[in-house]
Amino acid sequence: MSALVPFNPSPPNETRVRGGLPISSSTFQDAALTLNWAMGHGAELIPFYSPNVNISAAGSLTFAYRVEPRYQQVQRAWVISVKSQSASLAAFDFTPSVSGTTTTHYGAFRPEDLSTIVVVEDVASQSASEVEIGFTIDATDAITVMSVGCWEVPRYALATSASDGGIDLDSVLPREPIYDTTGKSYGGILESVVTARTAARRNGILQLSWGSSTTAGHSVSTTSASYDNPLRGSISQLSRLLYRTASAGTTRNHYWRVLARSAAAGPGAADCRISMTNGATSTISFTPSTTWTWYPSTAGAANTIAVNVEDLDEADGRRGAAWDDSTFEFRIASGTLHVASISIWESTSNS
Amino acid sequence: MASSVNKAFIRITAAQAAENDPCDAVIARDCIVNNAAHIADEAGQVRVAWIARDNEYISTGTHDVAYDFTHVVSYGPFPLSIRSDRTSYRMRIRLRGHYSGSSGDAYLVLSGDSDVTQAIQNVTGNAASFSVVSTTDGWITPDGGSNTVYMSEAQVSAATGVISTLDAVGGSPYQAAICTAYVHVYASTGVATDQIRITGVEAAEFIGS
Repeated sequence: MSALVPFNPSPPNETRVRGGLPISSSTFQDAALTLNWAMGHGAELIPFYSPNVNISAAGSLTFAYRVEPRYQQVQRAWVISVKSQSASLAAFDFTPSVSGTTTTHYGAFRPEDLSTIVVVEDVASQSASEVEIGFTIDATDAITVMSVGCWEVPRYALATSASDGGIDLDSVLPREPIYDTTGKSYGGILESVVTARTAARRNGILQLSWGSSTTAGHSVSTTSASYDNPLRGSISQLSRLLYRTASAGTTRNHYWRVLARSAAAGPGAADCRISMTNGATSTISFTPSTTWTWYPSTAGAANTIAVNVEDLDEADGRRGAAWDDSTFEFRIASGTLHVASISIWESTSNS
Repeated sequence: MASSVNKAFIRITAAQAAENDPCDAVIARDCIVNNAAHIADEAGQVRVAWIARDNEYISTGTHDVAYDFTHVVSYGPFPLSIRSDRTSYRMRIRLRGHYSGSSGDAYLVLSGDSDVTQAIQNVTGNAASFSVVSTTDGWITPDGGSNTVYMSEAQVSAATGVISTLDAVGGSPYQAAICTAYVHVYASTGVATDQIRITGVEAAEFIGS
């Protein structure tokens, strides 16, 4: 046995820990199992959404997202569903940007025959650093991309290293000594509590990419010099609650960038703004290039936006039983601003 | 059913957990029991987050039979988070849309099956119904008012299988047990040529109160 990742957590029972009583092995075992599960059970990198974009026969479209994966990730699963635009199967090639491995798939026409494909992509090395991931679809026949999602493949077992954070279950069996070593026993559990506090975050919050193209029906765009919402309305965000202290407040930061370009050289200054129901706002200001570029620059930190944290006393977790909605607005002084992707995630930086 | 006593993370100083210090009941209760439980309580993931671009929607299209539930869109499969009682984490859901022609109903279903159209009238805890009664687009209040759905222990068991997973980067394949699930949206109207138009879906895991 090693640092196995169980099917579900088994939170230790607080009533078994009392002053004057020994702390039983089962308490340590439950804590180890719960922490291994929290870090290894598979986080969502790209919450599912509907790009709802058409790709013509022989057309190609690239989707891009900024993410901060868990260090524990060794594989990720891309899940997309595609519909043929004609009453026959439509062929397309799918190529994840990191592995570069192309596979051919087919989309059906009728909604009830909607074809879902799952492509597992191996990562080259473990890392929790911010990175761009994505994929390219090369369509042989005309298709519509109906949904996209990506999650980290759950682990069978974690390594008992400081980075992977796994706890060897053998080390917490009855009559084992209590000692202080990474990945083992009481000391390892204390270290993994700190590791898991960051690692067990909810990675993807909102990831919308319509493909890097300026073709009508793909990226969202505006020519407005005043703020313009190119979406149907607002969509909610809710963050993990970590600390229940006055200084921690009732909001936490999520991180965000946009992938944008101008239609032609010499555009005016552009802004992308998020306004939350809780009153927080965050604005990314830039002068767009004619090539697709992430803003703010990936050479520096992403922008932050304060969103409500969950309330564990509420049946659905919403603070004050209200949705904390995000409204996206764009503007450009002159020219046309295209936005291909909006990426929002929980970072390791504020955990 | 938050499992942590304090429903929050408890800070300690490094000195309280220093090498060679004894493991007292306070450190064990706060640092190990409470904090490990709270990490799991807040480990739910956002599984679906979509809002359509302006003037865009996904619809039932023309369906064959009035009042027949028609598939609109599906999201998944994804690895559903399971609680210690072997039911799923509660899914905080939201559906946005409007109708064209005549009003109707929409269903959001959390299921391990890739298609549940035929069983949709029988689902209970893992589905929510929405009366689509406006031509103005917006988020729709679920019938009954509850914003959460979940899969029972039996449904979780039926949706559990194994997947191949690596033990390290470039490592050996092993099998891991996971419960995979989908979020499906179905809709119907009283006139077969009318449409329910869906413009936003949210589904986020939450431990439940």
